[in-house]
Amino acid sequence: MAYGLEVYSSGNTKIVTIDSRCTRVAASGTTASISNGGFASVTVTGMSNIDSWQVFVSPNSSPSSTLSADFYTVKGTNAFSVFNDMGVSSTFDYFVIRSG
Amino acid sequence: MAYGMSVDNSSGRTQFTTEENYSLAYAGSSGTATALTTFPTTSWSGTDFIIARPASTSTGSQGEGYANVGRYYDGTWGSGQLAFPNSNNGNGGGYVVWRELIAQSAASLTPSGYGLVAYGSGGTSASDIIFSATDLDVTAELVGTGIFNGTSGSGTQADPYHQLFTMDASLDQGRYYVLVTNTHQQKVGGAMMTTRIHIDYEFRYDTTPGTILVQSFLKVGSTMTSINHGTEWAVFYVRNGGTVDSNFS
Repeated sequence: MAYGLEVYSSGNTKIVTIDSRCTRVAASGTTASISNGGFASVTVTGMSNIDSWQVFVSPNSSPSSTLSADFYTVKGTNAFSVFNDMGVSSTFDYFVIRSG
Repeated sequence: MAYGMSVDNSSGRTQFTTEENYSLAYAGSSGTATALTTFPTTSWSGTDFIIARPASTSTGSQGEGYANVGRYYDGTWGSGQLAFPNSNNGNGGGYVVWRELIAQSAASLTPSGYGLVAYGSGGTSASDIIFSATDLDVTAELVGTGIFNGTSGSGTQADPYHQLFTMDASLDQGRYYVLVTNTHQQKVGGAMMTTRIHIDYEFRYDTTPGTILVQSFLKVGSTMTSINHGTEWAVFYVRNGGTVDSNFS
Protein backbone atom coordinates (compact mmCIF):
# COMPACT_ATOMS: atom_id res chain seq x y z
CA MET A 1 0.00 0.00 0.00
CA ALA A 2 1.33 3.40 -0.93
CA TYR A 3 1.58 5.88 1.92
CA GLY A 4 3.01 9.29 2.70
CA LEU A 5 2.04 12.89 3.35
CA GLU A 6 -0.58 14.75 1.31
CA VAL A 7 -1.27 18.47 1.64
CA TYR A 8 -4.09 20.37 -0.05
CA SER A 9 -4.25 24.10 -0.64
CA SER A 10 -7.16 26.21 0.48
CA GLY A 11 -8.55 25.77 -3.04
CA ASN A 12 -8.48 21.98 -2.64
CA THR A 13 -5.51 21.53 -4.97
CA LYS A 14 -3.10 18.80 -3.94
CA ILE A 15 0.25 20.54 -3.45
CA VAL A 16 2.19 17.79 -1.70
CA THR A 17 1.58 14.25 -2.87
CA ILE A 18 2.65 11.00 -1.29
CA ASP A 19 5.29 10.73 -4.01
CA SER A 20 6.66 14.26 -3.56
CA ARG A 21 10.39 14.69 -3.05
CA CYS A 22 10.17 17.47 -0.49
CA THR A 23 13.30 19.56 -0.24
CA ARG A 24 14.52 21.14 2.96
CA VAL A 25 17.02 23.93 3.18
CA ALA A 26 19.92 22.66 5.26
CA ALA A 27 22.28 25.62 4.98
CA SER A 28 22.82 28.83 3.06
CA GLY A 29 25.09 31.83 3.12
CA THR A 30 28.23 33.30 1.62
CA THR A 31 31.78 32.04 1.98
CA ALA A 32 34.72 34.20 2.92
CA SER A 33 36.78 35.38 -0.03
CA ILE A 34 38.62 32.46 -1.64
CA SER A 35 41.90 33.20 -3.41
CA ASN A 36 42.67 31.73 -6.81
CA GLY A 37 43.80 28.15 -6.29
CA GLY A 38 42.33 28.02 -2.83
CA PHE A 39 39.24 26.55 -1.25
CA ALA A 40 36.88 27.08 1.64
CA SER A 41 35.12 24.44 3.68
CA VAL A 42 31.65 24.98 5.10
CA THR A 43 30.37 22.90 7.98
CA VAL A 44 26.92 21.37 7.56
CA THR A 45 26.19 19.01 10.42
CA GLY A 46 24.84 15.69 9.24
CA MET A 47 25.87 16.12 5.65
CA SER A 48 27.30 13.26 3.64
CA ASN A 49 28.35 12.65 0.06
CA ILE A 50 25.14 11.02 -1.15
CA ASP A 51 22.51 11.98 -3.72
CA SER A 52 19.98 13.24 -1.18
CA TRP A 53 22.29 16.19 -0.43
CA GLN A 54 22.76 18.87 -3.05
CA VAL A 55 25.13 21.84 -2.90
CA PHE A 56 24.69 24.83 -5.21
CA VAL A 57 27.20 27.66 -5.40
CA SER A 58 27.55 30.86 -7.39
CA PRO A 59 30.58 33.20 -7.50
CA ASN A 60 30.16 36.89 -6.69
CA SER A 61 33.27 38.20 -8.52
CA SER A 62 33.67 36.42 -11.82
CA PRO A 63 36.47 37.44 -14.20
CA SER A 64 35.51 38.62 -17.68
CA SER A 65 38.75 37.87 -19.53
CA THR A 66 39.30 34.30 -18.36
CA LEU A 67 36.99 31.37 -17.85
CA SER A 68 34.91 32.24 -14.85
CA ALA A 69 33.38 28.77 -14.59
CA ASP A 70 36.53 27.25 -13.13
CA PHE A 71 35.15 26.49 -9.72
CA TYR A 72 33.64 23.35 -8.28
CA THR A 73 32.35 21.79 -5.10
CA VAL A 74 33.15 18.59 -3.24
CA LYS A 75 30.70 17.10 -0.78
CA GLY A 76 32.06 15.38 2.31
CA THR A 77 31.06 14.27 5.78
CA ASN A 78 29.54 17.13 7.79
CA ALA A 79 30.96 19.66 5.32
CA PHE A 80 31.46 20.64 1.72
CA SER A 81 34.27 22.56 0.03
CA VAL A 82 34.29 25.18 -2.71
CA PHE A 83 37.40 25.27 -4.91
CA ASN A 84 38.24 28.43 -6.82
CA ASP A 85 40.38 28.24 -9.98
CA MET A 86 38.87 31.26 -11.73
CA GLY A 87 42.09 33.28 -11.59
CA VAL A 88 40.68 35.88 -9.23
CA SER A 89 39.53 35.93 -5.63
CA SER A 90 35.82 35.68 -4.98
CA THR A 91 33.23 34.96 -2.36
CA PHE A 92 30.59 32.38 -3.24
CA ASP A 93 26.93 32.28 -2.35
CA TYR A 94 25.91 28.75 -1.41
CA PHE A 95 22.83 26.84 -0.48
CA VAL A 96 22.47 23.24 0.54
CA ILE A 97 19.28 21.24 0.26
CA ARG A 98 18.33 17.87 1.63
CA SER A 99 15.82 15.94 -0.43
CA GLY A 100 13.80 12.86 0.26
CA MET B 1 13.71 10.93 25.42
CA ALA B 2 13.87 12.36 21.95
CA TYR B 3 10.51 13.10 20.37
CA GLY B 4 9.02 14.75 17.31
CA MET B 5 7.47 13.83 14.02
CA SER B 6 8.81 12.32 10.83
CA VAL B 7 6.99 11.35 7.65
CA ASP B 8 8.50 8.87 5.22
CA ASN B 9 6.55 7.83 2.15
CA SER B 10 6.26 4.35 0.71
CA SER B 11 9.23 5.02 -1.54
CA GLY B 12 11.38 5.46 1.53
CA ARG B 13 11.76 9.19 1.02
CA THR B 14 11.61 11.50 4.03
CA GLN B 15 9.07 14.24 3.36
CA PHE B 16 9.74 16.15 6.54
CA THR B 17 11.23 15.38 9.91
CA THR B 18 11.75 17.22 13.14
CA GLU B 19 14.94 15.23 13.68
CA GLU B 20 16.66 17.90 11.57
CA ASN B 21 16.11 21.65 11.82
CA TYR B 22 15.84 21.88 8.05
CA SER B 23 12.93 23.93 6.82
CA LEU B 24 10.78 23.04 3.81
CA ALA B 25 11.60 24.93 0.60
CA TYR B 26 8.54 26.26 -1.19
CA ALA B 27 7.75 28.59 -4.10
CA GLY B 28 7.59 32.25 -3.15
CA SER B 29 7.47 35.34 -5.32
CA SER B 30 7.49 35.19 -9.14
CA GLY B 31 8.28 37.46 -12.04
CA THR B 32 9.53 37.67 -15.61
CA ALA B 33 12.86 38.73 -17.13
CA THR B 34 14.69 39.17 -20.42
CA ALA B 35 18.35 38.67 -21.25
CA LEU B 36 21.09 40.53 -19.40
CA THR B 37 18.70 42.19 -16.99
CA THR B 38 19.20 42.17 -13.27
CA PHE B 39 18.86 38.80 -11.61
CA PRO B 40 16.30 38.69 -8.81
CA THR B 41 18.07 39.59 -5.62
CA THR B 42 15.21 40.78 -3.48
CA SER B 43 16.07 39.93 0.09
CA TRP B 44 18.99 37.91 -1.23
CA SER B 45 21.09 36.72 1.64
CA GLY B 46 21.92 33.27 0.41
CA THR B 47 18.66 31.97 1.82
CA ASP B 48 16.60 31.93 -1.33
CA PHE B 49 17.31 30.86 -4.88
CA ILE B 50 15.75 31.23 -8.29
CA ILE B 51 14.12 28.72 -10.64
CA ALA B 52 12.93 29.64 -14.13
CA ARG B 53 11.53 28.40 -17.42
CA PRO B 54 10.93 29.85 -20.90
CA ALA B 55 7.68 31.75 -21.15
CA SER B 56 6.45 29.57 -24.00
CA THR B 57 7.44 26.92 -26.52
CA SER B 58 7.99 29.46 -29.30
CA THR B 59 11.07 29.05 -31.46
CA GLY B 60 12.60 32.32 -32.55
CA SER B 61 15.37 33.56 -34.77
CA GLN B 62 18.40 32.37 -32.79
CA GLY B 63 19.61 29.14 -31.29
CA GLU B 64 18.10 25.69 -31.16
CA GLY B 65 15.11 24.51 -29.24
CA TYR B 66 12.75 26.78 -27.39
CA ALA B 67 15.44 28.52 -25.45
CA ASN B 68 18.48 28.18 -23.26
CA VAL B 69 17.97 29.18 -19.66
CA GLY B 70 20.97 30.19 -17.61
CA ARG B 71 22.73 32.93 -15.70
CA TYR B 72 25.43 35.09 -17.22
CA TYR B 73 28.86 35.09 -15.57
CA ASP B 74 28.39 38.64 -14.25
CA GLY B 75 25.31 37.57 -12.33
CA THR B 76 22.64 38.89 -14.70
CA TRP B 77 20.24 36.75 -16.69
CA GLY B 78 21.77 34.92 -19.69
CA SER B 79 22.68 36.48 -23.01
CA GLY B 80 20.49 36.60 -26.09
CA GLN B 81 23.45 35.48 -28.16
CA LEU B 82 23.31 32.21 -26.28
CA ALA B 83 19.69 31.72 -27.36
CA PHE B 84 18.33 32.89 -24.06
CA PRO B 85 14.72 34.01 -24.51
CA ASN B 86 14.66 37.74 -25.03
CA SER B 87 12.82 40.26 -27.08
CA ASN B 88 15.39 40.14 -29.90
CA ASN B 89 15.26 36.47 -30.81
CA GLY B 90 11.81 35.42 -29.67
CA ASN B 91 12.99 32.07 -28.39
CA GLY B 92 10.84 30.79 -25.59
CA GLY B 93 8.34 33.58 -26.10
CA GLY B 94 10.89 36.32 -25.51
CA TYR B 95 11.36 36.08 -21.76
CA VAL B 96 11.59 33.74 -18.80
CA VAL B 97 9.20 33.22 -15.94
CA TRP B 98 11.01 32.88 -12.64
CA ARG B 99 10.10 31.91 -9.15
CA GLU B 100 11.87 32.17 -5.85
CA LEU B 101 12.49 29.09 -3.74
CA ILE B 102 12.65 29.98 -0.10
CA ALA B 103 12.76 28.13 3.20
CA GLN B 104 9.60 28.50 5.24
CA SER B 105 11.80 29.49 8.18
CA ALA B 106 13.05 32.49 6.21
CA ALA B 107 9.65 33.71 5.06
CA SER B 108 8.45 35.41 8.27
CA LEU B 109 5.34 33.24 8.31
CA THR B 110 2.57 33.77 10.84
CA PRO B 111 0.60 30.51 10.79
CA SER B 112 -3.09 30.88 11.52
CA GLY B 113 -6.29 28.98 10.93
CA TYR B 114 -5.86 25.23 10.83
CA GLY B 115 -3.35 22.76 9.51
CA LEU B 116 -0.15 21.09 10.63
CA VAL B 117 2.74 23.29 11.75
CA ALA B 118 6.01 21.74 12.95
CA TYR B 119 8.76 23.70 14.66
CA GLY B 120 12.40 22.88 15.17
CA SER B 121 14.19 22.65 18.46
CA GLY B 122 14.74 26.40 18.74
CA GLY B 123 11.21 27.27 19.79
CA THR B 124 8.03 28.48 18.11
CA SER B 125 9.09 31.66 16.35
CA ALA B 126 8.74 32.09 12.59
CA SER B 127 12.41 31.25 12.06
CA ASP B 128 11.91 27.91 13.78
CA ILE B 129 9.26 26.66 11.37
CA ILE B 130 10.38 23.55 9.54
CA PHE B 131 7.00 22.65 8.03
CA SER B 132 3.79 24.65 7.89
CA ALA B 133 1.00 23.13 5.84
CA THR B 134 -1.26 26.06 6.60
CA ASP B 135 1.13 28.46 4.85
CA LEU B 136 1.67 26.31 1.80
CA ASP B 137 0.02 27.45 -1.40
CA VAL B 138 2.48 27.04 -4.26
CA THR B 139 4.99 24.23 -3.89
CA ALA B 140 8.07 23.26 -5.88
CA GLU B 141 8.94 19.59 -5.91
CA LEU B 142 12.39 18.30 -6.80
CA VAL B 143 12.05 15.99 -9.81
CA GLY B 144 15.59 15.75 -11.13
CA THR B 145 19.14 16.42 -10.07
CA GLY B 146 22.66 15.50 -11.10
CA ILE B 147 26.11 16.85 -11.95
CA PHE B 148 26.86 19.12 -14.92
CA ASN B 149 28.93 16.49 -16.71
CA GLY B 150 26.81 15.26 -19.61
CA THR B 151 28.51 13.66 -22.60
CA SER B 152 25.49 12.83 -24.76
CA GLY B 153 25.21 14.69 -28.05
CA SER B 154 27.40 15.24 -31.06
CA GLY B 155 29.10 18.41 -29.85
CA THR B 156 27.46 20.76 -32.33
CA GLN B 157 25.39 23.88 -31.84
CA ALA B 158 22.31 21.89 -32.70
CA ASP B 159 23.22 18.98 -30.43
CA PRO B 160 25.57 20.18 -27.68
CA TYR B 161 26.96 17.90 -24.98
CA HIS B 162 24.30 17.28 -22.39
CA GLN B 163 22.33 15.01 -20.13
CA LEU B 164 18.71 14.51 -21.06
CA PHE B 165 15.91 15.16 -18.59
CA THR B 166 12.50 13.88 -19.69
CA MET B 167 9.36 15.51 -18.38
CA ASP B 168 6.36 13.44 -17.37
CA ALA B 169 4.04 13.63 -20.36
CA SER B 170 1.00 13.37 -18.11
CA LEU B 171 1.88 16.62 -16.35
CA ASP B 172 1.75 20.26 -17.47
CA GLN B 173 5.19 20.85 -18.96
CA GLY B 174 4.86 24.59 -18.35
CA ARG B 175 5.33 23.87 -14.67
CA TYR B 176 8.83 22.42 -15.01
CA TYR B 177 11.41 24.91 -13.76
CA VAL B 178 15.19 24.67 -13.70
CA LEU B 179 17.43 26.01 -10.96
CA VAL B 180 19.18 28.99 -12.49
CA THR B 181 21.10 30.55 -9.62
CA ASN B 182 24.15 28.32 -10.06
CA THR B 183 24.13 28.00 -13.85
CA HIS B 184 26.81 29.70 -15.85
CA GLN B 185 27.17 31.25 -19.29
CA GLN B 186 30.20 33.14 -20.51
CA LYS B 187 31.87 34.20 -23.72
CA VAL B 188 35.49 35.31 -23.63
CA GLY B 189 37.35 37.58 -26.04
CA GLY B 190 37.54 36.77 -29.72
CA ALA B 191 35.66 39.39 -31.68
CA MET B 192 35.54 36.85 -34.50
CA MET B 193 33.26 33.88 -33.99
CA THR B 194 36.15 31.56 -34.97
CA THR B 195 38.10 32.51 -31.86
CA ARG B 196 35.36 33.26 -29.40
CA ILE B 197 35.14 31.00 -26.38
CA HIS B 198 31.84 29.97 -24.84
CA ILE B 199 31.52 28.05 -21.64
CA ASP B 200 28.05 26.97 -20.69
CA TYR B 201 26.42 25.14 -17.82
CA GLU B 202 22.78 25.70 -18.50
CA PHE B 203 19.48 24.19 -19.58
CA ARG B 204 17.82 24.01 -22.97
CA TYR B 205 14.11 23.37 -23.31
CA ASP B 206 14.20 21.33 -26.47
CA THR B 207 11.86 21.22 -29.42
CA THR B 208 11.73 17.48 -28.90
CA PRO B 209 8.54 17.36 -26.90
CA GLY B 210 9.01 17.02 -23.20
CA THR B 211 12.76 17.15 -22.87
CA ILE B 212 15.28 19.45 -21.20
CA LEU B 213 18.94 19.28 -22.13
CA VAL B 214 21.26 19.82 -19.18
CA GLN B 215 24.21 21.26 -21.09
CA SER B 216 27.86 21.43 -20.06
CA PHE B 217 30.42 22.32 -22.67
CA LEU B 218 33.33 24.50 -23.69
CA LYS B 219 33.25 25.84 -27.22
CA VAL B 220 36.22 27.47 -28.95
CA GLY B 221 35.17 28.76 -32.33
CA SER B 222 33.14 25.85 -33.68
CA THR B 223 34.94 23.16 -31.68
CA MET B 224 32.98 21.94 -28.69
CA THR B 225 34.15 19.71 -25.83
CA SER B 226 32.18 18.33 -22.94
CA ILE B 227 33.23 19.34 -19.45
CA ASN B 228 32.64 17.95 -16.00
CA HIS B 229 31.97 21.11 -14.07
CA GLY B 230 31.74 19.38 -10.69
CA THR B 231 28.65 21.28 -9.64
CA GLU B 232 25.07 20.12 -9.30
CA TRP B 233 21.90 20.91 -11.25
CA ALA B 234 18.23 20.58 -10.32
CA VAL B 235 14.80 20.56 -11.96
CA PHE B 236 11.63 21.34 -10.02
CA TYR B 237 7.91 20.88 -10.70
CA VAL B 238 5.68 23.67 -9.41
CA ARG B 239 2.22 22.82 -8.12
CA ASN B 240 -0.73 25.20 -7.83
CA GLY B 241 1.02 28.09 -9.54
CA GLY B 242 -2.17 29.32 -11.18
CA THR B 243 -2.06 31.43 -14.32
CA VAL B 244 1.69 32.03 -13.94
CA ASP B 245 2.30 28.47 -15.11
CA SER B 246 -0.33 27.87 -17.75
CA ASN B 247 1.58 28.99 -20.83
CA PHE B 248 2.76 25.60 -22.09
CA SER B 249 -0.68 24.07 -22.25
